[in-house]
Amino acid sequence: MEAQGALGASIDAVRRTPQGRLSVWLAGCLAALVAFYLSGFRHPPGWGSLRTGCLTLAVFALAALYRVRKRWTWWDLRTMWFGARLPARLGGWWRRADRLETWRHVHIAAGLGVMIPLWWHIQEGAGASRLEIVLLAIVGLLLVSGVSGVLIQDFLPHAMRIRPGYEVRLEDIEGALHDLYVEAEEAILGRPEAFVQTYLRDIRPLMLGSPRSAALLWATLTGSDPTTAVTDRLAHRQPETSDPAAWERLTKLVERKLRLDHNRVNLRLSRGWVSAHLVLVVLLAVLVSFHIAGALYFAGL
Amino acid sequence: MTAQSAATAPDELWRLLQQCDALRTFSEREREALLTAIPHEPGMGVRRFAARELICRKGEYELSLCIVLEGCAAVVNDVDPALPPTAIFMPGSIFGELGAMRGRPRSSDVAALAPTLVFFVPRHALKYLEVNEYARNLLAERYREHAVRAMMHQVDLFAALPREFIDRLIPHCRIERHDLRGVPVVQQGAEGTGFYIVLDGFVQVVRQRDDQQNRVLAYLREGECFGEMSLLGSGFAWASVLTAGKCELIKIDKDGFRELCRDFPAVEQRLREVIARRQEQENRVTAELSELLEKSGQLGIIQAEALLVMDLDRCTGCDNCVSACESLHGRSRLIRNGVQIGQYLVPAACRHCDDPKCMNACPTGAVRRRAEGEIYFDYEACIGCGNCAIACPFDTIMMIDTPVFDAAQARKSAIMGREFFRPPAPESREEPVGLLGQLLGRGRRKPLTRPQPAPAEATHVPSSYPIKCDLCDGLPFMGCVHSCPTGAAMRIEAAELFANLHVVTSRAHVRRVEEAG
Repeated sequence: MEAQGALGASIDAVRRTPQGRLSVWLAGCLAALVAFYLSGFRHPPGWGSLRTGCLTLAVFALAALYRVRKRWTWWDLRTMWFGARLPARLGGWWRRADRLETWRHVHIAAGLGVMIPLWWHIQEGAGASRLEIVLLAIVGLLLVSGVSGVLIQDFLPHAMRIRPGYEVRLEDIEGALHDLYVEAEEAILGRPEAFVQTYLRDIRPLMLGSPRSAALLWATLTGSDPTTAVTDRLAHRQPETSDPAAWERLTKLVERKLRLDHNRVNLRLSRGWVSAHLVLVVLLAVLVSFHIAGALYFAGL
Repeated sequence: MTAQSAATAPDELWRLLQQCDALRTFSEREREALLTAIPHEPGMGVRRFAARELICRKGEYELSLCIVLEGCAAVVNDVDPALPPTAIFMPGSIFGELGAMRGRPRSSDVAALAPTLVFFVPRHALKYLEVNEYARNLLAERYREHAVRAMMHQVDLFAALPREFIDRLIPHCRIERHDLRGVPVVQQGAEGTGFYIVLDGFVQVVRQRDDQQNRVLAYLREGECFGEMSLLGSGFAWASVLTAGKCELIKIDKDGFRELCRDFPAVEQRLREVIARRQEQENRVTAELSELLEKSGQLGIIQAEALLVMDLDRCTGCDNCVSACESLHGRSRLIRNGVQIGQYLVPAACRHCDDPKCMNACPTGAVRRRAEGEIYFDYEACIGCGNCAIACPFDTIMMIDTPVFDAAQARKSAIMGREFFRPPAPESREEPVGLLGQLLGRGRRKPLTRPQPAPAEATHVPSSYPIKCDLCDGLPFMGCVHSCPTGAAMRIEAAELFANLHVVTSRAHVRRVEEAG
């Protein structure tokens, strides 16, 4: 691994941006949040529920800008357009600050930081209706999904990479599974009947079926290898008359198939949590608009 | 440069061209072929330059041979143009053969001293000159002398040696060309026949150890030398040297070089230092590193000048790099899959190779290279033959149908807007945008579509066009790198990648806007 380490060092030397773990940043933000809460710092005395509400909304909007920056090229180009007109030194700084990496850090800080104006806003409020309770629950879920997302994005890529024979893209897995199945079917051609029967009974269902996602997810969480139990079981079911090399080859194919299934679950998890997070954001946006409309209707400005 | 194309009658042009030695022995048929080709070959023709105007600029990849027809040109000092010129080109003189014949950037600034007419023969049209045996030999001889002289000035080994050394060295040099990978130039244990300097491309140094294991020790690139151990040591080669792709080598014959080493002891002293470094390198290269180097050589990673690398320990598979590429260019030029080296993925995206096969395969010179090293397509000259896509060993060039290409270019134009970061090409047309476009501040945009030929010339529209990564030419950032939320994607020169392993030296001239600051 010495050469790999040297490659990594070369890459780190070229990469000019800080490469700390995102979870460390998250922990830092959480600690700052707790410290702020414990310090008992309050908002300025004149600030009522309107101002604290507006501040909460602004911080929510800041957090949401990350998504805009991520998916809307127009925004990015305009930012760059502005940067191109700044003096060279400042422009370089601006360009680095606009990297999506930086935006992600800001997103996390804003996502956690919104708790402070929200807390003030709740204290200023005149009791919570059902809508506000649901709203708070959604904010809580959003926070949980965000923290989970950070942990998933921080640790899952490494956990996937250390397993051999994994695919980088989700869309390549189906093709790889198909190739494995074809290889397994070809491997039994010309074998004795007993061997074929054992294959049909013990291996083909594994090649065609999918293990339970929950079990694979558990394997990811615990760091265990989901293939061990299956390959041990297959080792005991080897037909007596068979060619051991052929059985071992089939076992390897099953092992690779299970790894691909595991890889698929991991990749879906890697992207899937974002969908959950986005659904919660949309729900929150809808409920917040109801909340604002209600507040304006009943209390006015 | 504001040179103007100068229309010259064929007979008059031929009269002027005959001042050049290389064209004097042309037969009637060869003359006809050359003159007929001029209107059809992109970049071939006469250009007029005003006094003091630059004809070619140092570092630019304008791969044309220049023949001075009228006036006078000179090599000027790029640091202080007021200094006297180092070489003067009178009518009939040739310059630029290093670029035209080897695909290397211009080695110096050449400016017109008086109003000057220059005939440009681009790299892809050299065949019209080389068809004549005398011209071919003359160009080859000039190329040899210029290439050797230019290289000797760059080689560290010969730095600070008197001019006399190089003058005496040149007659002992010859150029060896190799087109394939893995061709043995020097065999370990064989008697040394000469001293080599890499003129272009890469060679691989492999040594078989006492335990019979082969270890790849290093890759040598232009300006580096080998073969010194057999000349100064035992007389037998200490390691094998194989070509790592297409390469050109300067071979200096053994006896001539030994004689020069005797007369200039400083060379021998420096060579002894090189030998010590090489032997030290053997101890540093482990089996794992050797395997990594071998794999990197096979996959062409070693010669990449702007390699897109993704750290798989950080990549979350969000495909934002691909989306950003698609957003900016209308169609993604990047596939997030490819070669894996340990935890790093080298996806299928143009690597802007040191020796671009696509550029060599293009029959019209439509594949070009900027001074910064980026390889790009000049769609005006492209005929859609697809040779570049076939020649690319890494499958990073895609041919897309013309309607899809046009739509993609229009999309890019719509996003980038008018005069966004770089002034648009003067040939592009203006097109009004809708109300929304105006509100968004685009004004009247200039689409980056193919230039529309005049009706009389509109005879051929290619059915497809090549696309590939151009490092987001025209933008102050690279979309894929800039839009990676985890910092997993980065562009790096192969030599930088292997910097800590001391196995490839760096040239580091490719644009790296991300870090430029």
